Amino acid sequence: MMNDAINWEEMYVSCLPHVFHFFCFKVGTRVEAEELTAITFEKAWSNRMNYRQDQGHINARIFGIARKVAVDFFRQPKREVPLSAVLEISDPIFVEDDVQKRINFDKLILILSGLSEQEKELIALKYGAELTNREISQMIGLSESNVGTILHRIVGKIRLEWEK
Amino acid sequence: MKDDFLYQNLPPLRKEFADKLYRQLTSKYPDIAMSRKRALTMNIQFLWKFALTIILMLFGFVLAAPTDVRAQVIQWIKVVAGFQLEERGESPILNGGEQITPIMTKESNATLADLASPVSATPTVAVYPTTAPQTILSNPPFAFGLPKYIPDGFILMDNGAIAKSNSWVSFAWSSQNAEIEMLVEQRYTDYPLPTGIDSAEEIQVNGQPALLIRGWWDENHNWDPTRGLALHWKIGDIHYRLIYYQRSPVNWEIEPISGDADQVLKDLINMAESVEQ
Repeated sequence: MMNDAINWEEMYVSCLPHVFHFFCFKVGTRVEAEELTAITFEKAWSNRMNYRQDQGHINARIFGIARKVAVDFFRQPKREVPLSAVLEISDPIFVEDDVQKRINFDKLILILSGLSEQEKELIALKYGAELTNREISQMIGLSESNVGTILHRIVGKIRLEWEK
Repeated sequence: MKDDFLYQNLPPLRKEFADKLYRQLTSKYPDIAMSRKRALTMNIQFLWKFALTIILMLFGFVLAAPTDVRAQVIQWIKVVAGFQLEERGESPILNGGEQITPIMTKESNATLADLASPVSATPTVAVYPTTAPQTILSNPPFAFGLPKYIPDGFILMDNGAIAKSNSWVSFAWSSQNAEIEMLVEQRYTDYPLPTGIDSAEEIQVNGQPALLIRGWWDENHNWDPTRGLALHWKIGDIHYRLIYYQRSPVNWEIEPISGDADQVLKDLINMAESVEQ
C-alpha cells in the first residue's frame, strides 16, 4: 500500500473547504452543505487504507464520493430542512461579518437554479471544488477542451444575470 | 473570463464545524495503522473460524449423510486444474464499504500467503511496503521467472511487493485504464481460492492445466463475472497468478472490463506462456 505517507490532517485542511463549497453550489444552504461535507469525509476517512499517495488520486476519490453523496441527497423523496437552516439568516457569522456576501450567495444560487444539472455540476466542480479542467474532464467523461468551452459559456451567462 | 464573483461570494467555512468534524473523525477512526491492523486481525480470525467451521461441518456430514447426498454436496468444494476453489456468492471479507483489491491490497496477499504457509500456524498481521521490482529481482527470495511478453501499452510499475515470510512476490503492470498484477508464490499449499459460483474453468498454459477465473466481487460483495480475469498455473512447485482488471478513474473501484475480454485472456495466456524459470 502506498498510503502510509499521506498526511491526513493536511489533506483534511486542504480539501475540506473545497468539498464544503462544492456542496454550497450543489444544495444552496450552508447547513445542508456542512451536513453533506461531514458525510463525505466520514466515508473517505473510514476507507483511508485504500488511497494512493498522489493528490490527484485523493481528489478524485473524495470528489467521487462527494458527487455520490449529492446524488443520494437529491434522490431522497422528502427533505426535512433542519430548524437551524430556517434560522440561518440569524447566524451571527453572516449577520455581523458578511451580510452582503450572504445576499450575494443567495443571488448566485438563484441564478444557478436556472441552469441545467450538468451546468450546475460543472460550476460546483470548478468554483466550489476548485478542480482543474483536466480533473473535471476525467471525472465527468468530457474532453478537457469541451469542459473549458462549456464553462466559458456558462460563466458568461451567469455574469450577464449577475450584473443585471 | 471574469469569474471572481463565483469564488468571492461563497459562504465561509466555519472553523467550529471544521474542528468538530475533525474531532469526530479522529475519535471514531483513531489511527489508520491500528484500524488496518484490527481489520486484518478480524479478517484472519474470521477466515480461520470460517475454515474450522467448514471442516467440522464436513466431518459431521461425512459421518451422517447418505452416500448420494454426500456426493452432491462435496461438489461444492471444487478442484480445477489442481487448485481448490471455494465457490461462494458473497465476498468472504465483508468489512467496510469498498471493494477488496485483488493484489494491490497487499494485506490480502499477506493473509492468503500466511494462511497458506506451512510455517505460519498462527497467522500474523503484516503490512507490506512496496518494493521496486529491480530490488526484488536483485535478491529474489526464491527462483522464479517473469513474463517476456507484455501486452502493448503496459508498463512495469514501481509498486512490487515481497512477503516478509519470503513466500511470495508480486509485480504490477499498468496501462491507461487497466492493470495486470502478478503474484508468484513459492508453493501452493492447497488452500481454497474463494471465487464466484461457476466462475472457474480449466484451460491450458503451455499444454499444462491452468485455472481461469472470470470476475471479481462488486462493491456490494456480489460476484460479477465481468470484473476482471485471473489466471493461475504452476511451474514445478511455483504458483503463478496473473490478474487483469480495470478501475474507475472516479472512485477507483474495479469495474467491468470495457474492451475485448477475449483479447485480454489471450494476452494473459501469452504472458503466462512466456514465463521461463
